[in-house]
Amino acid sequence: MRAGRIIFLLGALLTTVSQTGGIAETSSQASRRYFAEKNAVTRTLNVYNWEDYIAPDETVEDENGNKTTIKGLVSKFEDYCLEEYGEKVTVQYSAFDTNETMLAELKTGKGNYDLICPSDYVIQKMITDDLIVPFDEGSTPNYDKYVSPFVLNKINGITVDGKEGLVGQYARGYMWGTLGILYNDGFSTVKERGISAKEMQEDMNDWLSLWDKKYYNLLAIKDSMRDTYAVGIMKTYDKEFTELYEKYNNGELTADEYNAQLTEIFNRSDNETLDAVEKDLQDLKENAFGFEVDSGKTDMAKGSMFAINVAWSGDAAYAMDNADEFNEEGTDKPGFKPTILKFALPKKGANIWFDGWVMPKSVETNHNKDLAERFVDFLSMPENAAQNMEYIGYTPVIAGNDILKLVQSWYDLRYDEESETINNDYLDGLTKIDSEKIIDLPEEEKENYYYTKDISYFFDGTLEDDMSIDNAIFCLTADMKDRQFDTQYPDASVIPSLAVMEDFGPQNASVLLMWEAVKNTTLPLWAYILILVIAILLIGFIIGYKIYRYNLVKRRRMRKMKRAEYEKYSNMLYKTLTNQLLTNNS
Amino acid sequence: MKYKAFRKCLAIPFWLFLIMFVVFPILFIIFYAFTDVNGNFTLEAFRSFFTSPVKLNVLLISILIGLFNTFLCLLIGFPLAYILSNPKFNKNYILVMLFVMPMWINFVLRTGALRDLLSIILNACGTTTGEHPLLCTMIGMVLNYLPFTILPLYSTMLKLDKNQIEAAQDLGCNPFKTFTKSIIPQAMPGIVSASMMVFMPTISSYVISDTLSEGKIMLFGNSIYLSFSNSDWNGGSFMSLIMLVIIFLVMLFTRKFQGDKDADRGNGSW
Repeated sequence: MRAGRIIFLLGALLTTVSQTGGIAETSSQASRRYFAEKNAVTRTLNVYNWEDYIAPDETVEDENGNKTTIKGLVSKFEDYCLEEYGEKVTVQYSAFDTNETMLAELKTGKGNYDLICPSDYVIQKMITDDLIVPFDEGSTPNYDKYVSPFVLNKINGITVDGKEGLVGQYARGYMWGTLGILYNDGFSTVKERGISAKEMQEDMNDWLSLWDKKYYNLLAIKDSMRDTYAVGIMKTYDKEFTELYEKYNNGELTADEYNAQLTEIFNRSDNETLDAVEKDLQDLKENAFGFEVDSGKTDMAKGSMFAINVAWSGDAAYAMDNADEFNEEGTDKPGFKPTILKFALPKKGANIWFDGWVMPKSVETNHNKDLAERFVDFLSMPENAAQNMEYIGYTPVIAGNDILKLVQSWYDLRYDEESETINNDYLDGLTKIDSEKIIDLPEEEKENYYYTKDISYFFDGTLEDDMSIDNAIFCLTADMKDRQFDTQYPDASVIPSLAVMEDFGPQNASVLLMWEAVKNTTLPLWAYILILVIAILLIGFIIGYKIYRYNLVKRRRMRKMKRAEYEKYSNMLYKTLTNQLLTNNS
Repeated sequence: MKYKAFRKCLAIPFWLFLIMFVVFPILFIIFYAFTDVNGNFTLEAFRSFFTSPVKLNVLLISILIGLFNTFLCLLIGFPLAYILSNPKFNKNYILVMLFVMPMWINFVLRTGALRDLLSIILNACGTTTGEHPLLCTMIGMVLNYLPFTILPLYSTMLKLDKNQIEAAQDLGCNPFKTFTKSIIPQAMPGIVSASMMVFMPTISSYVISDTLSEGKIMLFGNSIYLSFSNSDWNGGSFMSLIMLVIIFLVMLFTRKFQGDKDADRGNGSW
């Protein structure tokens, strides 16, 4: 009975399986053909980049409430591949927050990436550790055409194993910037101490001011080993830096010689230097309000906590934009004081850095090298770089007409929005300037209210057609001095004093120890002695108590034993006595 | 017999969980602590830790701050828990809820808010948070760990033997003696578990000291983080191992302590 039912069930099952199998075959054939057509050209590119470091899709609402989506660079690249190459490409985009976590992930073999965007010194380390592969020559025509020769020069100046130019083969630049001082001359304590805006502006052109008691408790430094080390070394070797600076100004050194010598001092990390820097940084810590990494830019924008912040140029520009927004919102509020932030690049020397695209070895096993190169080249198209710059706030390494036009439209006071060109008439009559101050002024004073700035060092050799290098000379209203534009593109006069900070190499562990010693909180000597005394007393007390307890227990045990013995004897005595009595009686 | 085997099988997920998330990580820590970058056995991390005055100093300062924080938390938490355990003051557990509620808010947010609050208060006093890193850190630590002290103390206080306290009073103990001879011994398990829950997390805490001392006070947790973030995995692992050893020692010590008291008084711990 039971066996029969099972056979029946099996039979039923078999028939259904064969039936569905038959149907599935026909449909899967169709889908296989369908996918085969698509699959042949579907590829995935794995990109690993910093957080918030590429223009995303954005939805913009115009006055009528119509929403339009502006495509981000990742989606634009996917469209570009479909249109130009007939390939369906999906970009797998992930983000990291520090160079070190990214490097650790890569070293342990986790993560499968085709394109990564680390900082300069990490690229150097990656080449030494043989983690990345070089770009093919001519594989990124747009990059080759539009990259600023100034940045390229800096990139190629980095030495790997004593050889120059390697970084340029292995990496393609993305963004660049500087490390300078962001300050707020309207901060309440600054005013209380009677420091005028002009005085502060002059002071901030020198790193030594950070050690000045005048600014005690008003400055925040970076809680990051390399950046604060860069500040420390400027103080330690201040004498040599000043000497070099004077020599350069007297014309004894050319700009290149000056930069080479400055970079050498800037990259010292021998043990003697470390000791000296440690001492200087301890003093700086004494004078500082505190350390910060990310919170500084928001605190500065709010105008709270501190007045001076060692900051990366992009963060500084971001903080300025935010502060301006707060100012606009706050104008109606009673008692509101606007926060005007400024950025200074100390003239005796400062750090210049860049982030660049590299291809880890896994790109070859993924067969994605051409795709990675295409992505980098796509980002290097001036219009895309401009979109990036607009969103991120950092400065792309790409120059060229589009970037220049974008920067002109943002900052140049002669820019005519209707014709989208520079109109020099505006400067002569000073009529179409936003700043009302200038219009109301008498003619002879007007020129005090704008300044010209030359950033041709950056655009040299990348401009074409109707634009010449003369277009890279800007006219700006005076209130733009030391503001966003000066932050994003430093003045040509400070360019020779910008140095790239290379990887510490084998000294990395020693620098880390030095940094820990700086961060360490030391107590005064009497406190250590007090702790020692208390510890000894405590241990002595515990040992004494244990001995006391031990003796107590021992004495108790002895007493117990004695009592037991006494009882034993008394029992025996009792027994013998009773026995005797009993026998006597009987 | 059959069911017994089945019941044993039910424990398999639990064992797997333990092995995956407790045993393996500890083994990894031990492995990294005694190897170099290439995975060869070495005592370099051991040597560099015990020969570095900076690292030993960080450990010392962390332990001091931990002890101080435990002391302050007990000082504030003990009377509070005693009052809360009295039903006259604490109707419907609302007061307990009020003290435990901050634990439901993310403590990074709490710390960030506290930083702004302290800044306002200190600015009104004519100074700033940057000038008093230790004060700000201690305030933050106490506020963050107070709920962890109150909870275990509260639950032991609920079980206090009122008769014993009354007896002590009747038999001529003054209030102080009643406190030291009757209440404290009875509350000892609560005190021990409260100290455990404050002391160790304080040493390894990282966000509170970093935010409130403006990065000026480095605790052992910050030191470990610094090692890992600069890809010194071996040194960081060795320091984590030191943490584990300290936890183990503290537990051994308190367990013995608790065991004595348990035998004497017959109290359960929290």
